[in-house]
Amino acid sequence: MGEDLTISVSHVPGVMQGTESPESAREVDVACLPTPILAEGLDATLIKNRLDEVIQTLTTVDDPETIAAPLFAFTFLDNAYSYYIKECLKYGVRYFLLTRLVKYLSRPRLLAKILTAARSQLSPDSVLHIISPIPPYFIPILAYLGVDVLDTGFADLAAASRLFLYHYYVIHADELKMPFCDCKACSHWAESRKDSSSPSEMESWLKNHNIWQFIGEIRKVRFLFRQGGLRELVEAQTHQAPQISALIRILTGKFSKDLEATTATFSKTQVICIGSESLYRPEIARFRERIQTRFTPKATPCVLVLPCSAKKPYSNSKSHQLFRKAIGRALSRKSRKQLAEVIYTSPLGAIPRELEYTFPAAHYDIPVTGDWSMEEWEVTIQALAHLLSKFPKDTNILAHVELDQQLMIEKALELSKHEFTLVNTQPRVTSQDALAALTTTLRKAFQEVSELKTVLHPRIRTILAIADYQFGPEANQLLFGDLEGRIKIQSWYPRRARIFCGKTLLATLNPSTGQLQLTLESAQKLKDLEAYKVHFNNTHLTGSTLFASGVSHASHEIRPGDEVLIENIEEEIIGIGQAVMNGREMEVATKGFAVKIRKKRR
Amino acid sequence: MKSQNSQKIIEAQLSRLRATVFGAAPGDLRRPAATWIEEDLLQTERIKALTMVLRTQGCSWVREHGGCLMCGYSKDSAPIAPQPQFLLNQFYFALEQAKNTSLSVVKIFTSGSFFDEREIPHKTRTKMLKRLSSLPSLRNVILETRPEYVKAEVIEEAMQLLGKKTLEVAIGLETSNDHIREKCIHKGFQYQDYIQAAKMIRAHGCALRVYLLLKPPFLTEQEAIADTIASALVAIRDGATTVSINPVAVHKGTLLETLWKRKSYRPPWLWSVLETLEQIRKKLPPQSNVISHPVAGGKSRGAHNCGRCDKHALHTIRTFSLTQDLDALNDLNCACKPLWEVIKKLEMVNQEPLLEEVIQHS
Repeated sequence: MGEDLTISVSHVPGVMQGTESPESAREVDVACLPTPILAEGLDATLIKNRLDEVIQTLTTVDDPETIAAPLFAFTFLDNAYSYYIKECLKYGVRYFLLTRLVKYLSRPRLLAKILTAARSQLSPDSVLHIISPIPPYFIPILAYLGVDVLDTGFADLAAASRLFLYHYYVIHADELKMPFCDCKACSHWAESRKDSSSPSEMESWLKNHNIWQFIGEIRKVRFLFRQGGLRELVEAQTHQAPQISALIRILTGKFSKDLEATTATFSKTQVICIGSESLYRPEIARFRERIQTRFTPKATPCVLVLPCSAKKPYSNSKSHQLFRKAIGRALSRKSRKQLAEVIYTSPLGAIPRELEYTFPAAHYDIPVTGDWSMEEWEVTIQALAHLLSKFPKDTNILAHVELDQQLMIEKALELSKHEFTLVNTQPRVTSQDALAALTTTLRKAFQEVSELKTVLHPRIRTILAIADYQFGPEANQLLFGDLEGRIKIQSWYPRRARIFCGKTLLATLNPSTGQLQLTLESAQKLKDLEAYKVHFNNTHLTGSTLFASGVSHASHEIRPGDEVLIENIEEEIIGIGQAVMNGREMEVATKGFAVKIRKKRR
Repeated sequence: MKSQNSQKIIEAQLSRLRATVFGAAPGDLRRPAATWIEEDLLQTERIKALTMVLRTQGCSWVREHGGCLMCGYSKDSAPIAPQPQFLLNQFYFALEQAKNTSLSVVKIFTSGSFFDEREIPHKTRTKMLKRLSSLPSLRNVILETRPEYVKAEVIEEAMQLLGKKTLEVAIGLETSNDHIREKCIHKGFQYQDYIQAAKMIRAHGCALRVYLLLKPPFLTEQEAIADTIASALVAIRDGATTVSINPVAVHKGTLLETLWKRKSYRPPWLWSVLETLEQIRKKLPPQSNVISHPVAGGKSRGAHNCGRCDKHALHTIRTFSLTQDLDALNDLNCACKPLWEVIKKLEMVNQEPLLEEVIQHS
């Protein structure tokens, strides 16, 4: 107790620095602001007065970057405190210690709220350090939610209670015949074990082992963070730890917007979808949403609905090559161009052929058994119905689908209120007879079509659809509207496709992400599009990075991975690049990479 | 038969009604709230002591300022001031309990202040003290009061009435830290008030017993231990002859109970009581005593350990309180001691109690 009723944690015991081994860990001193408030549920004026006192302390600090501000978990459940956090950030505090979190570990609803609020209220360049003792299996989900530093206090607590932590298990040391773990502490213990070991030796072994559990989790998280597989790790935990499972479900339900805002739009990494949580993971849910809001089909007399394939992109799969041959047998080259194709799948719902290269359509992987859960049915029916309803009502819809999925397709088509034909009557869609049926049905369908309009090449349609997917529904008009007929494409997947108009390069298509990358020339055409613009607070770009400090404002629609335009104070587009942060983060942060610049005006 | 039953039902309903109106069941105003006989320490001698808790109109601090955050003793008070005759009835009832015991000490508590004349009118007090002076075996009388009611004339009069019996005044100082007393306990007096009262009591040659609160709300285990040790030494320096450590118990209907239910408060560990006693005893002059009688010890609402060693720990505390023998404290060991050590350290970081069940189940 100091002069005042603030428990100032000027020395935080157990704060570990260095996570390479328990031996290298050491306690460090952290200079700390007074704790703002002691009890929850106080009235707003009282809180405000108290906070003002602490803020007074803050004004006396010379270098706010060297101090840490403690925050109690419950402060994120009460709006009265957000003002304090803003003041701290304003004065330059960038290190926040979150404590009193323990009792919320078993209350996922509140925990989800606290953690998402913590990350959205603190600036992206501030460190969030949880000093409450946390069990090690919480590390992946905490890392996924943006926690930077953790404390190993729980290892000590467990060791003192003679508990051996092993993944999700807590085992009493007396019930442990032999350490079965392969960590350093356990190997050493097994080697040097005498018949009788003193309780203190045992406690030190338990403590070291428990810390190794933390190190193991942290190493795993670091590796998967770089690999882009953190979400998969978190999802994998849902089947082992009910608290984590509950947390994920609440997050995907109530806090999906917060998660989506920080999830990259384009990536090279595989997206593995296994449980029902995967149906709503941000990348997947966003893709389904963008198909609804950003995809506009070109006029066509006929839509062919096809099943997905295990191999991605679908066109490269055996089944889809067979379909293509069957289509080729049925239709002339000109009619073939007119045919629209839609692929139905779980968990992405329905994918127009044009977007099959685009993340995550070419990147997701699911266990393929042919059995669908009710939830997958529901999601796919909704998505397919919505996509098909974008086609005019007189469009002829042919569904070449597996027999046991016909019911699903029928339901979707009932919803979209289209006339439709089920082509397949065979057990396998790729059997000779099934493909023959596809050929004859298609031929018949196109005989009824009286007049064929001139239509765009499927590759150009792909480029236009991706432009819309990336920049919003009117982007293809802005980018390519005036060039109709003059667009040339050089090379194609799996190489980088290059889109020209005459001799001018307009864009390239990145084959590993399915993302359009613009040139400075084409970027000028998107000048009026605010949604993907970052405003640079100077005139000339230098170097290959735009830092957050150089951003005056940025569109909040920007997500990490997005292709963005950089505009200077003279309102000229002076560069293009890939966003590293989302738009809000670029505005709030004072440090860090905002945009990786790919092209800039000299 | 039937009318008897309906009589009972009516009585039960009435008492429930009274409880809602007055906030506490008044009970029988002619009986004390509690009374018991126990072994106690008088200087270095083990003797029999009678304790009585009189049901008065209650603590003035509760009535005027809402009382202390952890105190639920006001539930023992009567909703309206009992007639003086009733107070005497209570007093005689308690003495009656001890008629076959050779009493050396009588302690009178009122869940308020014995010297507050609104609780115990002057005439009644005089009668009680006179009666005590006539008890042959009695040597010492302990009267509890808030410091503001300690006046020279009151002490002089009481001493005079008690004659040869010594008077010991008991004050609930709780802590020597004014900030903690004000913010964490809401006690409503300053350390300066205690010093004044203590000076007066000691100047008249009376003994002074000080109650200290171990682990008021908003303090961590470690802070609480440090505060109580420091308070004991300061209180003794400033006149106290005996220090009694009261580990906090969670009373019904208190703010503390709300915190406890929210898992924001855990009563102190018995290990903390033992450590506090040991540290204080080591630094005390030999003529002073440090004792503790944990309320609700071993229960979830009172000071407790892991559950396996609680009985033993309470026994150790009791033995120590009677013998002042430091060796008695080394008697105890349990697997939960290392956990208590780690929790003490980590609670400074978590700023909220780390409950054993949370550790086991997370």
